[in-house]
Amino acid sequence: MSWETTLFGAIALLVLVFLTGLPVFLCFILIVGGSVLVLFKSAGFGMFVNSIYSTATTEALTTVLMFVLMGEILTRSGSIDVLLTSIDKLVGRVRGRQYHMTLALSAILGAPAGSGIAVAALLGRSVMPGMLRRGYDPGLTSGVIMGGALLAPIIPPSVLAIIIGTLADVSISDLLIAGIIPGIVLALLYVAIVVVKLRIDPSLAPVESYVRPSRRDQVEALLRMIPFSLIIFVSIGLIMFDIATPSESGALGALAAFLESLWHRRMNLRAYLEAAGESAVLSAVILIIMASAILFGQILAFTGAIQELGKIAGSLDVDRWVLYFIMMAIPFVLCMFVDQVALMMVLIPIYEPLLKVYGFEPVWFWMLFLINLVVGAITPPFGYILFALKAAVPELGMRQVFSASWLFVWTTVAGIALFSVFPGLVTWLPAVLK
Amino acid sequence: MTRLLGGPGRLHDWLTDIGYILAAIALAAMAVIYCAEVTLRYFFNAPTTWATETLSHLMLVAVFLALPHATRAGSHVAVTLLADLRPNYARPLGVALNLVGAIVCAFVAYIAFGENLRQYTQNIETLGNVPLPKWWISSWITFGFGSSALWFARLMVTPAPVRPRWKLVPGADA
Repeated sequence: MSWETTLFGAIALLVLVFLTGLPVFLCFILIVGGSVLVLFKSAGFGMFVNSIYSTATTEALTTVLMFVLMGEILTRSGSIDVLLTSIDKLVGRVRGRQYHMTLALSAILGAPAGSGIAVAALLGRSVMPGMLRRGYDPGLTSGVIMGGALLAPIIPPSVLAIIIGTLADVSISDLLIAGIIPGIVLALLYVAIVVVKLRIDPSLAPVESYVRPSRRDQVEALLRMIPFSLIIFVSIGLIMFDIATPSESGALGALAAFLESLWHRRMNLRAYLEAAGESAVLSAVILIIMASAILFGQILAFTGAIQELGKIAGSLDVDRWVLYFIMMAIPFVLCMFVDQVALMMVLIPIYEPLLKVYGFEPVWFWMLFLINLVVGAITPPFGYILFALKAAVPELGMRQVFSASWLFVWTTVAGIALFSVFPGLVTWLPAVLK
Repeated sequence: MTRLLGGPGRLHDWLTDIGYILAAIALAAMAVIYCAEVTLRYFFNAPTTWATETLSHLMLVAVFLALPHATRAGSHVAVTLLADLRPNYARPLGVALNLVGAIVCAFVAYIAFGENLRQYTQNIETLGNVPLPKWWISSWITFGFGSSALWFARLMVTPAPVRPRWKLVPGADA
């Protein structure tokens, strides 16, 4: 069988099995199991188990567990409520105040949640009903929440960035830090979009009476945000200044979140155990996919398909920017249909040799790959965040959610174009902090 | 199904709940070990020799102890496009997918068990500063897949995620 048939046949078969609704890890195991049987007969199954063992004991992956634990404690401890009230007091009198407040919240919430779906569901349930009651436009409100939710996997700490770093063999610290400037730039682009939309059509936001909080209230609001900011500093700052490894920083962040939760006094022993238990379950779900996807990558490597692809790509007379465009377009399109984590597991081993051949800077490339993956989550018709928001706000029409998302999809694509033309926006901060 | 299985069903529920709680404890222990390691390294200049491998082992144990609960609660990532587009077929499709899940997980548990036996009979140890019999760690893979296979089989009959019989109510906020 030629390498092209092996590579594209295996991927097509995998996507087909994904679409049946079988859990992603089982799809990988099914395809890998079949391949092992064909290639090695039953003797290969021992290697199969050893590969799962090897992935599940890869120390770098403990970072995923530690950051998930930190996020779980933060979201259950009451920190989010403190943030909500503080930001409400700090965002001043601007037209469409709640839109800006929602974006600011998403950018900050993204840090503990790390998941776009979680942010969309949280804001859809907590912020959106109030906005709709006050007369804010449902379409723009949904768009702002979805755009804001995209920031979660980009702004550190991001579990997706940790997974990419581990699979693509890129420094996790660099990849996490590389998300800071793109996250802020995208947030500013979304703010700009809201401002322009309100200029064109002022009826999209109601005229609200605004009682300016006293200076004392504002200072108090800032002070209340200090513990949360310290936790984020502990978890990201320690990595940035090379004081601790990403896993250690995640654990220290979890400890800081635990101490903050003692201050809020909302959690009892059972709540802590549940936070740790749900973190373990989420980690198990992620790691079992990784373990099975790594098997898939190993099988592809064994057949020689990936090496052949690398050789062919190296000998092709294709402009590197054309190839870059194709490599970015593939996750953009496929993420409308296939889960982000599953897709990255398939694409990373295939893209890795191409990066070397075409000389793409790894941190820059993988950060843009990550942004591309997450934008697929708000792209109709199958983006995951679209459905998370619809589930959180059932009165929203699906058509309304779809049309609201496009503006933010294209704004994010413009952001990707900006980061492609000015790679320094991604690579500058990790380089400076080295 | 729990009623159909009677005692074995309740035992399986109980094992899954205990697994969930032990996974939570293992995860908390990992966080404590990391914090202790940083403290020992920076304040006492005395990094441990055992932390790295203990953390790796604890991660595997936590993941495979939590896996059965993830299966029971339907937490696995899946592309549910087909069921969303054809809701009328969601139930038979669910049964078919759970059947495939049960078969695949049972098969992996079977080959993992064979590997555990091989490691046991050949006295294979883990690599590291504190070598341990490898089957002590790898047998959790067998547990995770074996128990998940049972959950997939049970979910064929009971479509909604079965609630655990435990005071803690794992997954209550999931």
